[in-house]
Amino acid sequence: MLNINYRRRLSVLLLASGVLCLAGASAGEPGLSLHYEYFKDANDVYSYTPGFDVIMNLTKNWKASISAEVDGVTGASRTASVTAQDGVTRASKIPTLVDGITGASKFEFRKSQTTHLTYSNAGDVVSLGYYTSTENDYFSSAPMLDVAKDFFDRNTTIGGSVSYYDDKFVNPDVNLQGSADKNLISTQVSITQSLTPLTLVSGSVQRIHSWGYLSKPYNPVVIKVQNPTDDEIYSLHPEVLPNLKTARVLAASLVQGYTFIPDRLGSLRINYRYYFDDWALKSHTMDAEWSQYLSDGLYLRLRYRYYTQTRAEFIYANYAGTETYLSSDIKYYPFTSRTFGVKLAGQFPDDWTDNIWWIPSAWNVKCDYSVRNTKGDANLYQFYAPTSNYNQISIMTGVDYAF
Amino acid sequence: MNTRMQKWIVGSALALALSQLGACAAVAQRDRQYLSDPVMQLQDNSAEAASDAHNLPRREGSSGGTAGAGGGCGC
Repeated sequence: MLNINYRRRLSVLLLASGVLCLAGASAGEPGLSLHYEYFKDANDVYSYTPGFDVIMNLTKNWKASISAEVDGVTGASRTASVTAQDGVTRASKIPTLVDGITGASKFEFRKSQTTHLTYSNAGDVVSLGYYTSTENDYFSSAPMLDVAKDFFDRNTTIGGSVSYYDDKFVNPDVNLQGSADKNLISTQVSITQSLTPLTLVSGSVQRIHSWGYLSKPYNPVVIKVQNPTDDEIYSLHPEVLPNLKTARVLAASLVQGYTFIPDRLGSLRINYRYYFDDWALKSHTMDAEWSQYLSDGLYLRLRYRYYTQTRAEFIYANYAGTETYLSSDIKYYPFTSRTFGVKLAGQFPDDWTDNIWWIPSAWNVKCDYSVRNTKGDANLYQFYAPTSNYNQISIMTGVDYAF
Repeated sequence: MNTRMQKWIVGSALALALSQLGACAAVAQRDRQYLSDPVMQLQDNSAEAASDAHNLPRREGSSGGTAGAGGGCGC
């Protein structure tokens, strides 16, 4: 468990900044955090993501934070169970790369940064933020506003946030004729209540409205061509999704701590989310985390996340090519996924950090392993037909320096 | 029951629930040492939360419910 001095300092800072986190803003103890994430999945998609967060006190009430990261991603390649020969696309038992058709890049970098300026005073918090993300073929920017206020002796926090994303695909595909815009507005209201010294509950309602080019140029749909002499001929058709979507999200959280072991705090955190949108896609998410301090400052966290979703209303296993909307992206098909995670977080001894300047004050490492199941109906999924199971692993590690 | 009436009832119930939260103010400032601990936070690491908020919507049809609404990725 934390030592007394550290906990007292953290207590003051987190009471001030915790409300801000609930509202979705970025704030915390002044310092520098460095992190690195590695991702790999069963389709040989890799991602390497180093990043940092800096939080600085400008005055007693004003705080600035900057977060930045770089993504190296191999995730744009697509395969399909078809092959092109002599200008004719035919069925193939061996999945074939279709990058040459879609124009997708096989490796690319993404840079993103978020800047926040935050004012806080006795439980009143206002934070303005600005986010940008840049890729070869995609640019995103978003101003965001977060507010939060404490009530009832600071046992209750009510927060709200608004963000507006202005995104643009640039030269992704000839079908887009150069560029395409995508916009998104998210509004969220949340309430958090401390019930006992060891119990915290929270709930939120969110509306996400997006419009514009919501398709992806790299998800071609395989369509069987009606041919009386050869029934194995296919064509590739660009994904077409509606240009309007409104989603609503209800979320609730419970954090229950315990001190069954003297001086060794533990907790169970349960998050539930219900999502539904006007494309008829619904999902349920249950995320449970069990944390236990093993010694002063060192804790272990185990995670289990269950996710299940229905299909969007325009999703089918086979398309005739005359449909208004069509997609082969598995994120719109029904599936369930399970994530198993483990994390260790600890602090370096004070005499190390006091005497050696480059020793950080804290460290953490976590690993998440996920398995996706397509409910046994592999034929429903155009690009995932060879197997109904998919898995991925991500490893994230970080260190914190306190200012 | 029409939609307007349903919204009015839900809104009234929420307002009533909010007005009663003061009765839950049972935790004094001096008793909040555990609530301020990282393992008692709704999210114990902002970088992890940001990673989930960015990456999960790339593979799932839903998003939201946490900080941020996704967006910003053409992959």
